[in-house]
Amino acid sequence: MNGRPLDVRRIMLETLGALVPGLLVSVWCYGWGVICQCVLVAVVALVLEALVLRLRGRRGPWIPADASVLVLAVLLGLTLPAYTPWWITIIATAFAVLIAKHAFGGLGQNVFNPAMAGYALVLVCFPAIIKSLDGQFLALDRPWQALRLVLRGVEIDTTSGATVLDVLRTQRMMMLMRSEIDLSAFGFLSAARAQWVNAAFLIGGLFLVVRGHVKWQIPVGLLGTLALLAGAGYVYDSARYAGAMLHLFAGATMLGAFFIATDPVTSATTRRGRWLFGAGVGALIYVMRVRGGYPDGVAFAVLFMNALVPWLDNVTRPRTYGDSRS
Amino acid sequence: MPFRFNGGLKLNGHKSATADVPIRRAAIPPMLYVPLQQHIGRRLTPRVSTGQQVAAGELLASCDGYVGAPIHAPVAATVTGVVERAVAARGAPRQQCIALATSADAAWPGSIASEAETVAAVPAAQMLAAIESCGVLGLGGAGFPTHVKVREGLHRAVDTLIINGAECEPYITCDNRLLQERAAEIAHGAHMLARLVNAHRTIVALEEDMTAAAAAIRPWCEQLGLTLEMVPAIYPVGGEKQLTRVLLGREIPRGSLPIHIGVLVQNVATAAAVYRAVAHGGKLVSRVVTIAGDVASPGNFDTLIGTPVRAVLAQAGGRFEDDLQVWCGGSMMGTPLDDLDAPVTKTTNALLVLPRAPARVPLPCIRCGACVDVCPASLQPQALLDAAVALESEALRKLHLFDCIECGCCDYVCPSTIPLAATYHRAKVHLEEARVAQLASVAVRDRHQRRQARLAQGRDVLVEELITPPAAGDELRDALAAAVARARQRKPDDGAGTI
Repeated sequence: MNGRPLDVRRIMLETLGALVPGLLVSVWCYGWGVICQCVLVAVVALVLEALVLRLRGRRGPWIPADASVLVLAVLLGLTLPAYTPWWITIIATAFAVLIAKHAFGGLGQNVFNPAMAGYALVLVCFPAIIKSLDGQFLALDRPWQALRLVLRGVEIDTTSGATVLDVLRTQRMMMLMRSEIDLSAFGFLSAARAQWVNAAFLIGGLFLVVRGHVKWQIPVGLLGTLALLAGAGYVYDSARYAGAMLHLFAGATMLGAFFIATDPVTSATTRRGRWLFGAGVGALIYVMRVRGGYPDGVAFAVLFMNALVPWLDNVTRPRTYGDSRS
Repeated sequence: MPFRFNGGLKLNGHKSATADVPIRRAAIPPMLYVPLQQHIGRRLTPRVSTGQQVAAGELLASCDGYVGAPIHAPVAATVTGVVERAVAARGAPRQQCIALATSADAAWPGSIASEAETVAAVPAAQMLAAIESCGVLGLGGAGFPTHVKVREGLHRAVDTLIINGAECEPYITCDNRLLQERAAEIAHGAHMLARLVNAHRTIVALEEDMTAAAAAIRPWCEQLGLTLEMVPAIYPVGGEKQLTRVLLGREIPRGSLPIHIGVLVQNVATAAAVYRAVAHGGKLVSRVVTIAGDVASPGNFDTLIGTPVRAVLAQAGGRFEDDLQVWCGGSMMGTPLDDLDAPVTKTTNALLVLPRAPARVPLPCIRCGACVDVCPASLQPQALLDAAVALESEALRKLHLFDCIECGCCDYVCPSTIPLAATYHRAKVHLEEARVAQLASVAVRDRHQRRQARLAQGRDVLVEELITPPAAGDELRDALAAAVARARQRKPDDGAGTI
């Protein structure tokens, strides 16, 4: 409550800054494709945003002053697999900007997180391609090699670069015991690169919490619930269920907890609502990871809880001063 | 302090420029414009005529109803008429003002000994009469007639009398200076009010950074048995609701007044005015106004009610240039004042001169919830905004629009620079107008339906109804019957419909 008031532009720019560590580690872990995706999404998103604002009769600079579209672009670029073909990326971006954001009324009015809506669309429409590309690491020396791959498409052997979540899912489907899978391979820079990416997003996220741009109740509720459920599953049957640390540092957990679930527009606004929203996303992530068929559960968990936000805000409305109900 | 209220802001007070400068007297201007409505309640009826000479303290106008406080001539003057002009009050409303041409030999009302030693015990009825006839009203800003508030307190058990010196608005130091210079008057006034309503205890509440004021009033509090409490300097702690919560841990229920929970809140300046009225019959014809901001010599000015703003500002070395905007009130709740000929009223606590801010185009609300965190009423400002823009009366009521105290905390923190409090104010005005219009239309419909019924039943029923109104006594009934009979004789053929 103290200090100088902020403006939207500054919040968005600081959010972009907080994404930088995670972005750098992602490039280091997944290759230049990450940058290709972010740039491609950003260019398409900026063009579409400018066009839509003109069509909706908004005057002003061609690049929208609030910079929110850039945050959307980086989040979507980080969520899509690094070597997603260009046309899939464009479809995801167009859906995010045109439908998820502007069809609902633009900044501040959208019900669903635009980046997650765009990702969910292509994940549902092109599951095989996305799944096969998820978590692929290509040690390419030059950025343009990555660009060429994105533009021409890439055929990848699906087992070579599987993420730890993929392995766990495959194992579950094959009715194998967790002990029968060799997880030792998921050490530093093999396939569990995700843990370093997650650590980097955690640092950026903590910065946002300290700056007050992210209300701490959502990440704490999310990570707490996820850890609690994963811990319970591990205690129940450690042979079949992975532990809390793995779930916290796998997939898009930290990105989701600090940057996606905390999108102010699409998350709850009351204090108790933020707790419930975070806890709901955390629980759904866990359920989708242990029972679902997609690479990760973050996107669908966030979208599902987005839909509940109006109801959450309504039932968690705080007691107004002078109100008799306690 | 054991209790706190939700939200609020720690603000830069901007008080150092004026808090340590002694109160100066504003000069008597050639013309005074004393507004006929400076209080909440009914407009006053003038009791003087044009051309009349009035002495200092002479009655100018008084109220025909229950809620109203009379006004008096601040100095000897000649009444030149009634003019309408904007006044220096919240929202700069236009009011009828009595115009006075001050005499050349007019002098400031005699000063009252600050070292008020002992005040003889004055009977309650006499105290109340003095408060009423001297035109004392809430000087903290609301302008509710003090005798009405006290009279409400007589009917109910008053547990705690709170003397509010928690001046939380940035820039304003008029109460602070008054505490430092006229502590005795304030303490005696508080003591009088406490005896008047039989309060169990009296708390003088100051913000914790008002150390000089606390030092000045502490000996008097000890002598007169008042409790001095220092409350945290979190805006808006000086709000009646917030102060009650912080001091007593009790909330004023929705739609109630503090008196309903046994609490009476009076501003420190009001307490001083009560003392002057009761002990010396001093009419409320001047008040201390803070002049702050971009002026050469900021400070507090004892100003005659009716003095044009321009005249007071000139004495503080104010420039009158286009790049400056004068605000009536502090930087949080103040409203712009464009007409500098507007007169100072009994509720004008500050005139603030600030550089004109470039118009900021608000961005869309991103539901960041910053407003939720600071709202002292624990409202949902972002949800209220949608409802207020769309004027959805049902949603606005559900979100408790009328619990908004318009403190402006939400405006201050909004990253999209949305003028939230002003939007809520407009929505309130709209709902209130709609409610009044609805009542009026219901009344018209009822009257029409009754008339139709009368017409249907014929003339005799009408007469019967007229001469037997539900609550009329025998005398009234006889008088009415006689009047109807006379009317019947005079106009035998006139239809019932015109009655």
